[in-house]
Amino acid sequence: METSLRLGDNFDSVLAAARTGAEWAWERIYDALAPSLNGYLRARGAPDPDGVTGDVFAQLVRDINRFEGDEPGFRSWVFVMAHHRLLDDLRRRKRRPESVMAPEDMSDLEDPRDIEADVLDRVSNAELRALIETLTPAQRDVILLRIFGGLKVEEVARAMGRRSGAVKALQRRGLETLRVKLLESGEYPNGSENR
Amino acid sequence: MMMDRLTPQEIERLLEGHSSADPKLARLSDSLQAMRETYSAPVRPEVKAQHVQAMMAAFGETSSAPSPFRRPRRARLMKRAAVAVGASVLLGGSALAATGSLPAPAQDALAKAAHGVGIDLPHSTAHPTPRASSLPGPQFAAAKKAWLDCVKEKGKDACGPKPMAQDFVKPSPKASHEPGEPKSTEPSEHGVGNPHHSPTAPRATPNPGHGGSNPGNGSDNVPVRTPNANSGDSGHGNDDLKTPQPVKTPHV
Repeated sequence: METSLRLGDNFDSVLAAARTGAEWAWERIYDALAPSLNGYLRARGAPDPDGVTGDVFAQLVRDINRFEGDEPGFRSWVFVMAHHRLLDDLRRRKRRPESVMAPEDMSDLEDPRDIEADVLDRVSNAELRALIETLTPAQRDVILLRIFGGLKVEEVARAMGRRSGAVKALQRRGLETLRVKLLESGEYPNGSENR
Repeated sequence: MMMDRLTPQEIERLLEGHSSADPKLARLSDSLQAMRETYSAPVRPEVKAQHVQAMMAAFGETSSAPSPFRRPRRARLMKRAAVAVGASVLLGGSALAATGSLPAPAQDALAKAAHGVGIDLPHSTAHPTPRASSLPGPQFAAAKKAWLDCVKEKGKDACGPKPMAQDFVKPSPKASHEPGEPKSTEPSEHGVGNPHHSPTAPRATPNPGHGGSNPGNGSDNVPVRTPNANSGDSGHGNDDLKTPQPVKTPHV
């Protein structure tokens, strides 16, 4: 089951148009990839998932001529890029914590209603978040890259700089940890109850 | 709590998003699906517009930026090379001009020009040091060899005076040359390498009957060797090869 659009048979023509700078083609690529990419970043705990998403797409535009392959390959290429961007972002934030926002900059904030919606979303996602937090960082990377990016074991291994065997072991242990956690809690997380 | 381990097939099905009919995996499968759907919400339109705008700007920068490893790098290298060559020529030329080592016309012209701006540079005539071309060289060696051969064959008396090195030293034309006087020609045109001239005659006088254009070379301060008068010279000097008779003429 896929949660994002696929370009399918149009992939080659869309890619060719994107390489010439056609805005419609870039929008198609964005629509196909951005939701799951953003989802991966949010699930992975990115402090600014929208910012990282924007960075990834800007880098994608710059590097588009280096890509060769089909749509699944393209998707995994973008997710590997996102994974590295996220790690860079987390490292940068660790070195240089964000300063308190000046009052004059508050006017640039989004609509308060959106903030409220975000807060509600976060409350409803709390159980899912708690579930993800039971995983080690490496297990989290493997499982989230696989379920959001649709990456194969070998692609995840390449992105993480690990062997395929290690990735398989990480995903098995991660899934078993989740299964135990769910059995212990005895309830579905909110997100899955709503389905 | 003891549970069966997940098989590789079950793991793949869970991670690829297939729902599981197995009750023991249903809860896990549903949770993963909830994760996918909850987090993968569509990006807000204003965020999308911002991102697409940034992408198009990035595309504009990428397509308008020149290739990083072609022309600019080559142009930079060419520019540096040109500057280096120019600086070398300038410094080298200045050094040569200051020491008076430039060719006479260039040295004189530069000295004159420099004098106009108050800089004293030596003129070409200010350096009577013999130039390499004025030193006794192959001509002297050839004359000496011919004289020795002649002595062996005919005896010392028949071969005239022994060639001396100083007779073959050409004083610098710059030093001896008077303004307005016709300049001497270089010996390369009539030198040893010319098969029509005697190896013993580094600067043979042209045969007047040959239609020589420079009869006598009278202005040269170089030892002028005339072909042997007894050899029946036909004007081409080939006979000199057979009977070398170096006769030294006095300096002019």
